[in-house]
Amino acid sequence: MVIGFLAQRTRFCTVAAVRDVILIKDTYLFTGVVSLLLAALISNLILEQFHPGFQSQPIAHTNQLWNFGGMVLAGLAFTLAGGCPGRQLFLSGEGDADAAIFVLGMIVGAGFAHNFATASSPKGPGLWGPASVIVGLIICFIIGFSMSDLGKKIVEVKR
Amino acid sequence: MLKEFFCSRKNIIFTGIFIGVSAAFLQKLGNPANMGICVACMVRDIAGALGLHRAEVVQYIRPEIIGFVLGSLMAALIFKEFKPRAGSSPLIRFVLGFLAMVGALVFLGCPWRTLLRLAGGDGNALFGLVGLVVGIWIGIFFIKSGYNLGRNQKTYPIVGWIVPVIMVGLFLLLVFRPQLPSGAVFFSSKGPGAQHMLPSLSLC
Repeated sequence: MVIGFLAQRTRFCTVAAVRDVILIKDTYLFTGVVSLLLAALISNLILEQFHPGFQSQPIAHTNQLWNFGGMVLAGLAFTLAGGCPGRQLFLSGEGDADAAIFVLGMIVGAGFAHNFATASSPKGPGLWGPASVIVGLIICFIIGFSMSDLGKKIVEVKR
Repeated sequence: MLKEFFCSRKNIIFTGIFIGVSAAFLQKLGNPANMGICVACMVRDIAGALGLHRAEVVQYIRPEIIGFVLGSLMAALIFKEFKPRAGSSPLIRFVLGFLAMVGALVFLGCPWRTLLRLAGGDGNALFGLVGLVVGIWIGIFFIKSGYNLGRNQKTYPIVGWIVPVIMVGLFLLLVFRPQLPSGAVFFSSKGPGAQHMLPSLSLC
């Protein structure tokens, strides 16, 4: 609850942090992300929870292509929706019904991901994991094209 | 100069530090490793508890998620920023939320957990982080090309209360743990879903 309170006040968001740095060269949110990373790192060192390496990390797999691919899809979808999952929760709390729809989409997506074997397990990506990422990226690209000036341009060229 | 930098940003820095430290301690106190706070994983656990999926190891009503929404609600009410609004491409947002979750579950973590996995020494998270930045970068390309979800509108106060009420409902399910003929509410007996700390503390 404290986190929700603080994050609502500061607009903390990990995706917008990176977006602002690249898009408008604003590092306000980014400082929050860096402090999160450093604080967690230092706390982990103190609590002896820091275990560097690639193999047998907790609740993780080592298929780097789909570690990468999965997050490309997630990063793109979050950016198109305007913020990371945490931010969408905080926005839902302050009355944003559209962010609430995003959250409901996440809940349904989670159900789908496990029922249709697109979610990974520590053993590796699920049966349909790679396919779901590719299809997801295509859908995101269609959304991105059709809801920006790029779509209009294509329509004009056709005319 | 440096002092000015930190003064204008002390709140956001404090927020970051607070999340980072509490995530580490939540892990120490029973949450799954490198998953002190992960919005995607925790929403996934809630979906499991409700029976939307039957992956038996990841079913639990995570009070952290409930706390995020209610904490934000309190802050918004106190500072008069509670503004019910709706109508900016809801169906598109539903699809994006769905896909974001599918992507995050291929990597096994949301952006927050990417950072926490890095902080726990998980090298695989580096690839996820690079993927995340590439994804955001593609998104920026669309934003620069005029991508827009459309304007939202002010709406009835009740609309803004729906998610907080759902969260209270989830909290009641967590506290009373009703057992229905279908088997719901589902709570993992092993795996990450069974790893959690005291609900009352996580809620805070």
